[in-house]
Amino acid sequence: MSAYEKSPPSIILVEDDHSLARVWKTLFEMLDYKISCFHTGLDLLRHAHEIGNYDIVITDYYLPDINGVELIKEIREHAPSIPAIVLTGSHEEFIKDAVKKVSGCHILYKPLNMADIEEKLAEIFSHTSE
Amino acid sequence: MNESLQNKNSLNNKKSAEVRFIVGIGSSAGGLEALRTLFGCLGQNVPMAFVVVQHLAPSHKSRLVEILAQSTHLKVKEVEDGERPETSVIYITPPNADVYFENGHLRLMEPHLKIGPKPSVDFFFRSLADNFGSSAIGIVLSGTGSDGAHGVRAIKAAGGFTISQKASTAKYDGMPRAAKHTGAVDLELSPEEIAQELSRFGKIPRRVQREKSEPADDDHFDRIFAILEREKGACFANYKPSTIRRRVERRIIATRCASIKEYAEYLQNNPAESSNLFQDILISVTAFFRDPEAYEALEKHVSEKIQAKQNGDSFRCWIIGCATGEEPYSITIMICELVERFGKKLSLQVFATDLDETALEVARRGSYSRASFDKFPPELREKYFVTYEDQLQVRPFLRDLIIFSRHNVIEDPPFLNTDLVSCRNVLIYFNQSLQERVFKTICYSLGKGGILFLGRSEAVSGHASHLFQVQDKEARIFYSMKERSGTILPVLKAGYSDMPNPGEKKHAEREESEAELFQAMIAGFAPDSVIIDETSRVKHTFGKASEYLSFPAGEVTVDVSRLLPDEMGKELPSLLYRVSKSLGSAQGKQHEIKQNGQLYLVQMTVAPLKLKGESKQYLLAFAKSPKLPEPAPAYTSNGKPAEERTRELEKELISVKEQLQSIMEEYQASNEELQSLNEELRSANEELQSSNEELETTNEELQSSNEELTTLNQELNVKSAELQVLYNRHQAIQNAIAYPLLIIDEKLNLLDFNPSARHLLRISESDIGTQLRSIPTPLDFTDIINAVGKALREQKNSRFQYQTKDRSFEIQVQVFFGEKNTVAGSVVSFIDNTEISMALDEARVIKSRLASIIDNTPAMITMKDLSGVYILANNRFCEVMGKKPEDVIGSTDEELFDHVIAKQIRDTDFEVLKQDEGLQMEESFFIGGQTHVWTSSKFTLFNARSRPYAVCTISLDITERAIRERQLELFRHIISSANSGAVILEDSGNGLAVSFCSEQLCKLLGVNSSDLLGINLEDFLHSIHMQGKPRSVSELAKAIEESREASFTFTALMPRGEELTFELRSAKIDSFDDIKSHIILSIFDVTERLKDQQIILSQQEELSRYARFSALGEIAAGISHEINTPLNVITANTDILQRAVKMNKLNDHLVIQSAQDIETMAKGISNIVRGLKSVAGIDPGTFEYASMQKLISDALKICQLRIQRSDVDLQVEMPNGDLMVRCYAIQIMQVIINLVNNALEAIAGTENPWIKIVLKEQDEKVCVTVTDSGNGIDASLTEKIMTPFFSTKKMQNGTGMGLSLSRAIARRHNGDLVVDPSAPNTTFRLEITKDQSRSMAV
Repeated sequence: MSAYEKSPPSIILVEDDHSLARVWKTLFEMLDYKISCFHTGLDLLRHAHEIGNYDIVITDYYLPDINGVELIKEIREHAPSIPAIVLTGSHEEFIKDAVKKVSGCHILYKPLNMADIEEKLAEIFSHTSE
Repeated sequence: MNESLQNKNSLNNKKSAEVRFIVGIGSSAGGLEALRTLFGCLGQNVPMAFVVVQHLAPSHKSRLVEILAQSTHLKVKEVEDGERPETSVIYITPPNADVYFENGHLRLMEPHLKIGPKPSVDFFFRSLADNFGSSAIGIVLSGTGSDGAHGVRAIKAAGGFTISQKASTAKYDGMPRAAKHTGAVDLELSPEEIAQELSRFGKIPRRVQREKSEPADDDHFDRIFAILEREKGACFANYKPSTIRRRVERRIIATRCASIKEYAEYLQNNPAESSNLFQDILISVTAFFRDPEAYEALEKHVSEKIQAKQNGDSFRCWIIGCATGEEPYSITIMICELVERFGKKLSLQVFATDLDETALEVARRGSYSRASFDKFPPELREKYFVTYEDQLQVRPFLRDLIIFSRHNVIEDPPFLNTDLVSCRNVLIYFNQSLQERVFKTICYSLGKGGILFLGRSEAVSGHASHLFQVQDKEARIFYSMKERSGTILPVLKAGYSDMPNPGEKKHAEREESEAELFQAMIAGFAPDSVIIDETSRVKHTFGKASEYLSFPAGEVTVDVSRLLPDEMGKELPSLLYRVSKSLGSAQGKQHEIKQNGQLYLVQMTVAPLKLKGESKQYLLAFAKSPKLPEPAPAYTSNGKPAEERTRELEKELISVKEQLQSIMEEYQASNEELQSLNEELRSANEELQSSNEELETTNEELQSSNEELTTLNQELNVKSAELQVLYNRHQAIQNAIAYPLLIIDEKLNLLDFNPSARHLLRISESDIGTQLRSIPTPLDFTDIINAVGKALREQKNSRFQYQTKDRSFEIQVQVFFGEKNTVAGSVVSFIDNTEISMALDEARVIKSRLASIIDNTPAMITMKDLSGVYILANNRFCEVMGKKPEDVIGSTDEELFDHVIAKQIRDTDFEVLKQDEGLQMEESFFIGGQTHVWTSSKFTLFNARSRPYAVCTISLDITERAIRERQLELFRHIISSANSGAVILEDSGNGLAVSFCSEQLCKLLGVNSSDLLGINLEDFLHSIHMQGKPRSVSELAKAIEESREASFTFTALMPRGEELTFELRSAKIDSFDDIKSHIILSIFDVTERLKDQQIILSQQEELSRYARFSALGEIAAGISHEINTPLNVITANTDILQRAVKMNKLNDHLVIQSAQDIETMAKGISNIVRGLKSVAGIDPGTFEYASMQKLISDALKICQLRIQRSDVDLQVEMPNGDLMVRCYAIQIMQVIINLVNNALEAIAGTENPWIKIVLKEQDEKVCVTVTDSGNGIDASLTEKIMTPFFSTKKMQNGTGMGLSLSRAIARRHNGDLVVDPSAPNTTFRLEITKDQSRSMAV
């Protein structure tokens, strides 16, 4: 039961916790999402040229080498309009502010479940499908 | 060639090199040069010996030998008396001697002439000629006078060869010219040519003396004679062949002909040569009283003759071959003397004849050189000659006695009735038959008992010997044997001038013998006839034609018409005329002649002779027939029988005829004489004419010269006038010049001076013309003289300074030039420059003084021109700027300093230039690594025209002062603004009193500084409102005054009510030098400080409290995070499971995977909790011994899950056993957790991450190092990361206080937390002191 008329969006996931990344990947793929996982910002940026092939980037805020917002800014150099979601467990204001400043960038708070993610995705892509 | 061979050759050469020629060379002034050239050009092998007769001063030591030796290869030596001349040797006559030859040997003798050149060339040449004859070569080179002229004649006469130096090549042409004038010089050549000529002589093959001549040569000789006869009218056919040949040969050599044949051709083609040959043949030598002994003998005989004469008689004398006249003059003088001696009054007639016209001219001139008179009796010399310098002239009366004329004794008829005939050295040239003929002629000429005087080597011989009687054999005096003068003259032989074919000439002798043959033939068959030429001269006679010819008295002629009897003679011309007209023969009428008592009739026939050639000849034939007796004579008018009358008449007629004849003869004779005289006169006349013409020409020339001179004179007058004007002007100028002036000539004589000079130098007119040196002046002229001399030599003007006692002058020496640009003198001027000199000296002194000041002053002094170029920079400036003077001067500021400084400097320069007055300013520059401060005075310099030309800067270094001032400023400022008060008390005699009080203190105390000034210490202390009073003020004051340093703390109540705490520090400075003793009080308000300290203390308390909290917080944060993540995984997994179910994608694999995940996560969480428990079991507040190992492993438990999840390789190194340390365990654990977390964050996501933890004991410390695989931390970040809130990454651990707090903890444990920057990987090191006995700040 896809909530989308088109095929489900392809996702880039950036998560440094290997276990968590693995679980997410399993979950998304179960739901027929195409998903690629990266563990560090640098890792993703090395594959920057492929970003355009994806529909969205979901990244942790706290990454080993860069924070998620910065990473999105970087990505935007290669794919200026790709939407993004930042995941964080911290409710700090500054993170919220940072995300707001970047267009097409959304925030989700951990711990989260699949439903939260799907909801957000629908929200993002309903805009774009218009 | 090797030596021996060379020797051999030279020997051979010597043998074959006989002396073939002796070369005598005479020279005088300029001869040396000629000799050197001549000898220099001579080759090696000349078969000649040379004798040099060079006029030398008798006293002079001659170096001629050495000089000539240098110029030639030939041997040169001085003549030694008696030596035989050798070939290729040059003999030099020594001075003060005469040289001559005797028997072929060289002889020296005392000079034979007192006056005249020594050695005498003539003397030598004569002896050379006598000794060597045709082997003699005489050369006359340059010289004045005429020595040698005679000599060359002698050489020529002897058959030798003569050469004179070409006048143009001779330095002095006197001698060569004189020699040439004698006509006795064969060649005129330059010295080089002479050398060449001599070489040719050497090469002429030796001629064998020949008595007989070669046939071929004879032909040529005949031709030569024929030409000569034609040209000169003289026949030399019967001259002695050898003599003639030699003469001809000489000419051949002289004309450079190769052979006689060539010469004959030459002679044919060059008419002038005939004269030369003629001259050559005739040349003879003569002298006054030649052979004096002979003359003495002659005198005796002549005196006899004279004595025998009566007064009024004549004495006729004929000198044959008189040549240049010495002989006739000699004989005439002798005769005059005798006539005088015997007191006779005789008319003296002397005929002197010769073929040689040139010689006759000399004779007629009658002028002879001194040298000719060496054998002349001195007393006679004076009487008969006039002396002109070195020539003697015949006196007119003597000259008038002699008639000189050209006469060929062979052909021309002789003079008659002579008393004395002198024929000396003539016959030697003739052959026998000619000699005979001449003798006959002479005999004919002489009267009864006439004297024949012959030359030394002559004698009457042959057929003519019967004509004379020897009187004196030695003296060669003969008497004529015949009765009276005039007999049949010997017939004349025909000549050779009309020979038809020049190539077929026969020799005279042979001709003669042939002619005789013909004669004989003709005598038999031919009629008696004569052949005559067109002038009626008898050329030839045949048969007895002589019967019809007879010679009249008087001068003999060969005109046949005169030789014939009267009638026939008269008829002849008409016959000749008829023949010439008709070209046929003409016959005359019958004439009656008497021969041997018989009467005959003679008829003449004249016929033309057809002969080749131009001249006409006629045959005059005589036909004789006897006269038939006359029929019976008729009666004559006398009455006598006709026969008798006839006889009588005949007798009368005969006698009349005879008388007439004799009259005619006499008439003829006088006619002849007149003719001769006439000729004489004519020649004299001609001479006079020519002289006259010359005089006229000379006169013309003189006239024109005169004109020129007059004109010149006029010009000179004008010039003279101009000169005078100039001179006057010059004098005026000279005198007007205010400074002394001397005019000096090139020899340093004073020429002129002006009035100023007179005064200064004390000279007067009398000094003019004297040497500068010798002029008595008060001044020392040495320098001047030297300068002038130098200027004259170098021809350069000069000037120099000259000092007198009280004044100084600049002396200028100016050279001036005369004609031909040679130095003529100099002008010396004395320009008084005393004032200038002194001024200059002063200026110099000032300048040096100034320079000295500038260089030694401590101030920096510079001058720059308007373009900014340094023109002066003193030493100090250069020192300070660190530059060399030579680098500074000529450079600009831009070049010397950097742009900023240069601009700074230049700007000030421009400032200065804008205004008139100077600027005073302070400048500072950063030069040489430090700041310099100067006080500078800059001002403009003006030149003489009041225009600025430079900027001068004088700067004094006040850096130190400025620094000090600034420091003082700063100090004051610091003091003033410091949160303290400063008070200075000075003891100015009345005890210590406040001299300074800082602003702050005053403010604090609420007073004005002026209120505090002057009060003493106690009062001051009182004024501070001290509270508490632990001690009394006076005690305080005492303590302050007595101790060097003191400090107190006190509280004071301020006027505004607050209570403040102060710290007072005092310092006492004793007086020294001129610094008074004073006390400095520093009052610090320490209230705030105390407060701050308390704040800090409380802050520290809070901090530690906080730390405690934070530690827990850290742990909590750490824990929460640690737990959070696994929880995420668990929820994710549950999500997966739920969805899977919903989507029917649930499978076993998925379930198992998820379950495992959940289990792992749960375990992790329980570990954490366990860890936490152990942590919680520890009392955070207790300071107890704990095991480091346990602490570390507990900390790691907490981090374990994370470590696992990030795949980090963890290494732990800990020693065995427990390392007990007294510490706050939780805090230490917190630090370790912090470090490990940091490491994990740093290396997460990198390749091969690892963490290494090492625990070790080091000295008194315990070290825990945590190293991760990161690359180390940048050194500059090391400190920063220790500060709070700094993190290179996210503040994952919440507050970010991690490292700073950890450090604080470490410090609290008497240790530290540091980063090891040198390690290749990020390494944190925690150090804790083991022994915590020392108390720690709480």
